[in-house]
Amino acid sequence: MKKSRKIEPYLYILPALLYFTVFSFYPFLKTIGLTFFTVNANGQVKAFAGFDNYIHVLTDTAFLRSVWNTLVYVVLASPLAIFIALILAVLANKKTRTSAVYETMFSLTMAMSMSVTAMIFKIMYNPNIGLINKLLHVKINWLNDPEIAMVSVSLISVWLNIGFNFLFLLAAIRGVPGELLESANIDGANLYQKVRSVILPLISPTVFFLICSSLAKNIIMAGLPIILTEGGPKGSTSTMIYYMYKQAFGNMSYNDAYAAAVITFLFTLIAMLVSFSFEKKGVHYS
Amino acid sequence: MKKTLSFVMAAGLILSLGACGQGASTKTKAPTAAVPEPTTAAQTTGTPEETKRISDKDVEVSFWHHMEGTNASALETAVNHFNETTGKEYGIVVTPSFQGSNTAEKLNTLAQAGDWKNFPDVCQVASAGIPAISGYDLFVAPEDMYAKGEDILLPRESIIANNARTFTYKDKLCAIPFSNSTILLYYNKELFKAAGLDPENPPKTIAEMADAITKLTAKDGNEVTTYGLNVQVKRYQLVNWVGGEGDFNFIGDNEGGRAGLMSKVTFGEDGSLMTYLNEWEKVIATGGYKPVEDNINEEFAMQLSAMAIMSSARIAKLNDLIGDSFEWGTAPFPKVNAEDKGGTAVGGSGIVMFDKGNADELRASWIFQQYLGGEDAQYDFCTASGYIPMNKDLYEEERMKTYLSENTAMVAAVDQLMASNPNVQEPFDIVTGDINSIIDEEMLAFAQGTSDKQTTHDNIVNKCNEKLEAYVKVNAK
Repeated sequence: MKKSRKIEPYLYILPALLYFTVFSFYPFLKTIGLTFFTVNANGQVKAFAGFDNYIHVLTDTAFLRSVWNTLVYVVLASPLAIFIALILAVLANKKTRTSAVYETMFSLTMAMSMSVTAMIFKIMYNPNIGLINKLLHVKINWLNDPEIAMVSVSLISVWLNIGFNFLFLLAAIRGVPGELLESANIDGANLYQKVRSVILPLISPTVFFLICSSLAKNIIMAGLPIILTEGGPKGSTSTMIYYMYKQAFGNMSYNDAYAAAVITFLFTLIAMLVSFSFEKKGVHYS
Repeated sequence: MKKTLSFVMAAGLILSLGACGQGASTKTKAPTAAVPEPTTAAQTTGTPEETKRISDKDVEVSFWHHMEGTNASALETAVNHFNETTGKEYGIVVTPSFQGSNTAEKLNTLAQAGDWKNFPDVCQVASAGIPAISGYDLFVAPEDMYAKGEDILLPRESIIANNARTFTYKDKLCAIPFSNSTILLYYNKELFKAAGLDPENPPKTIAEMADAITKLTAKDGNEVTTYGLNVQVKRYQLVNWVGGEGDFNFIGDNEGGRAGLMSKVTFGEDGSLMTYLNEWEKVIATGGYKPVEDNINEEFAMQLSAMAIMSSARIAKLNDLIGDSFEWGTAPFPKVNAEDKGGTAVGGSGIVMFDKGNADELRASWIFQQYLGGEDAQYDFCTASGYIPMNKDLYEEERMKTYLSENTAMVAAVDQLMASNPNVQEPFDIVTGDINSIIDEEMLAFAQGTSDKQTTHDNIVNKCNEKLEAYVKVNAK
């Protein structure tokens, strides 16, 4: 009886464990193993390579550029999408007759397909016929200027993620006890003080979740460059996973692709660990 | 403990990332089967219709394609027509299935996993995928089927030589050409007239094009309001220009990868790249050339560029965008030098088939593969999509003559394709992605004045060769 009770919890996680083993753990370990071999275009192992594949990738300026681009993308896209969503959630906190309308409007971006959004932005970004240049009265080559192309791509990502972040943050803010906000009002706190000292600490678990999920998602982003820029101009929008994709399927070089995948994993792992260290200091579960 | 737990959780959250690169396997052998004898059971008795049936039961053929939108509808119409006509006679039912824009990539993934069972019977692939696909053990070349001489619906001679050459690898026709195109000059006839140029006599060479750009470019102060020409020179454009020099140019060794693995580019050592750059310099010097493509179709349709260089597959799209708003036309791709005779390459896709060990399915696949290259399927598909028919006999038919007389933009494409040397083709350069990026970056730097002609030349040659060398080192047998 005691023994079966001990086994019971493991049985609950068994289906998920099997799923992860087949689709994540096994291919992941195999990928790591193959990074130490030379593999031809048919996927056949040709020879032991030691760390050659890693050295090749880490000395490839195209990959180093893609590491930098990924960092720029993550730094721009992740916090901005959460920050804007937070502002919208604070504004939408109070329930009114029209709540349903603007809540739907603010969260609508999560219902948009990335490829459709990318194509719409491509037209809007056009330097000659695009809406953005017309409205701003500027002549910026948003997607074809290497200096700003990654910023332009990041802004699309921000727009796409606002809806998802908004929904989570709105639910969290509405979960903040009313009496605490009332006390803050009595104490004469303004909106900024209420957000900083009352709302943010109480919604910090949600913010933490959004930071973790957006970091992981943004570090492995490749869709927007594939659809919009093919990594250009001059490699300025090539991310680490786009590099991996291009090496594997554009150039049939699995050696570079495997090594790039593992290096990207390490980057993501480090970002996650940093996030988890933030959890200790900044996340309040009470 | 908490630290360890945090680490494990973080790793678990993102572990699936590492699997992104997974795809290879050491398995490469497929269940091999020689090209079998077609089943003859149904050929002996019954009515004439019944004798054509391959088997008592309908034979199912799975067909992967990469067409989207209008083109997908056109393709599905062709498949339905097959099922209702030829398919019915032979007892074949084809099921089409869209597999994304790169079917060769999907096949390659299956091949690496040794998952031959899930291969389709028939697949539409871009020509660049042919060298890899022809190496799969279950691949069956149309060349071998023609050699057997059975169930011939599409005579080998009906395939235009240029289109056949596009899908020929190591002297074997590896696919039946299907949706083919060629590169063209698109020009705005009204802007030509306004600039004092003859709209019925568009530029024939790069030098003539440079003169036209100077006249067509409109400026408001220092700002260009109408560009003379819009084209971003990438691999596709460059290999067409260089490939058409002289009688023809293979671009790389081993006949540009068609006779064997391409290990280096040859356009550096034979001087053809420099010849092209010498002429292209004239275009850049006009100041009215737009070297990046933002929305090339729309900008041409809005008269923001007077000329554009694009695939003939864009004709239908431009017809939609422009409508009757202004008069425009297509012309042959301007040559590097007036005396060049090579012409241009054939772009697009072909149909390959696989032998999954079932003789009936193989026979059915062969019949369907040929049907797609037949006059009816080519006429229906091409008139709906704007691709150029690859069937020589179709051009003799009245319906095609009528179609061309009503769609003059297609005439330049057809004439150019027919007049080109079959040896002018996009090379099988394998590391296509890298080569495209190298040419794109170097030509853009040249156009923007950040790289001189010699540096552009040397960088293209050296960088392409580095990539090819690295590939050959790992993949040469």
